[in-house]
Amino acid sequence: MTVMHVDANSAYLSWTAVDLLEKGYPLDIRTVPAAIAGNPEDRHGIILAKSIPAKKYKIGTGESLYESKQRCPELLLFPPNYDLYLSCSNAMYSILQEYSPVIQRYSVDECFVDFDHCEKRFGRPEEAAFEIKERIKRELGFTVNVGVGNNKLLAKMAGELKKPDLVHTILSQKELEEKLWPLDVRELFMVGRASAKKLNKININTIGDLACSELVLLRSLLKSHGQLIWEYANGIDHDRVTPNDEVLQKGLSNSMTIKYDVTDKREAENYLLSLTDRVAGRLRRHQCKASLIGIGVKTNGFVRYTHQIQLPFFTDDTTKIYRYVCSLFEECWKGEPVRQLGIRLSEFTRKDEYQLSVFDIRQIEEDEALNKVVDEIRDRFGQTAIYRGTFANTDMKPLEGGINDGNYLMMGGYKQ
Amino acid sequence: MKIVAKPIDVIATFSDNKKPIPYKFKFFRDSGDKIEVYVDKIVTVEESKLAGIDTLIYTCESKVLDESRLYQLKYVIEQYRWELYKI
Repeated sequence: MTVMHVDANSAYLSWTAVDLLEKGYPLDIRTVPAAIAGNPEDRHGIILAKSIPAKKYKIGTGESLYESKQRCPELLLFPPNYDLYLSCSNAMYSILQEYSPVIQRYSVDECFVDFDHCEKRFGRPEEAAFEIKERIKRELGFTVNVGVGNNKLLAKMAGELKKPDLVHTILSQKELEEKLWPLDVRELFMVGRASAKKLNKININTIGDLACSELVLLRSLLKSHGQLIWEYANGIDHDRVTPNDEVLQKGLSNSMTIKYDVTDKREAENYLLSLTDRVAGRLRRHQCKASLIGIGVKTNGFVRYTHQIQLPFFTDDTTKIYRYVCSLFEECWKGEPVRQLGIRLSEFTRKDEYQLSVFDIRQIEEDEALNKVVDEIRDRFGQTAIYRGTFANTDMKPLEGGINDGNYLMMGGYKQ
Repeated sequence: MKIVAKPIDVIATFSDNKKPIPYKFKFFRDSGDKIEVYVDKIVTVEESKLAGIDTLIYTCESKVLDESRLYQLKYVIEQYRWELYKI
């Protein structure tokens, strides 16, 4: 198997840079300390992407604007433009489609390309990778890193080696040992802060250390995750490049940070309703019904707690889900000011494969018909063409959660 | 040529299955003067997809203030918008 991993370099920032240059902005913001950040007035003031010169000031993705401004006062800040990002991503995807029929959009800025059986037409994978990289640079104006490997994991790791605008390969055991093993264990995909800490304690500091260590030891330390990262360190990954519409989704969630701290229960419930409307709409679009409903609450002191309920039946009805969401909120909320709210649905079944009940079959059918009409109206006339009366003449949005009002490609390549 | 990206008003001809052909455009200078230019010659037309935005770039030649100048016009297809791209 030959897989390519195509990843846009500092995606949000370089896409904004290309757009600004086209609009006559005098400076290429990729060459100066610059960052894309949310609006601090809406309490979204964190760094979303930064330029390579900004990295030298140790500005990290996800940190607050206040921190980064202190470290680098001359940092240039730009707001995100998600429509632009989606159009850049689509343009990149359409170029890749010319090279292979099997592509997985892993997120808005990265794709896996299955290059099996394509060699006859496009030559050796590293040559094709170089061609792709150059074409994207020439036609779309931004640079990408292309990693070529024998599986998805190696392709991704190769793509992360050195940036920007390069092609890397990990196609043999020798290359794996030379290029991957000397790296810090934290660099390995799926090794996070917590696992790295545990591994460092038993003197596993590089990916090579991890690959050469005893599997039994890792299993006892990290359970099944230990086996997974040991396999990754040895370049073993059997996951196939799966086009996005074939990826089975296990859960759906939406959350929102509110502009101010909410202290009123009625108000919080209204926000929950707008989130439920969004997430239930997505559930129905996926042709699924859920049986596990969970909520997450973050207080103004950044304490986060979650609460969930397993239902004895499956549902996709907004009102029904909302009723459970409200009771969950009532059970777990202790009255403190709320900063963030989230709703999560999982334990799915397909829409046409659930157990009917004798008692409320009529009600279910009526609810389904209503939801179907609402969804159809929204698809045809826009997401806010029809909404609940409680939101009329208020500042609240009838549908909350999701980036760019739900019109965006998320991590894992899911359309919201 | 330098990028100016100035929005302009254009009179163009649209024929069947062909790219629009700019005929004349006007814009206002920073000083407020109105400038009207007839497109004398279209040298090249190129399709561009920079930043994923579909555009047509026309390299044109015209007499501006008694001087023959080469410049580029841009038509942003999705937004039906013209601009003086480079001059």
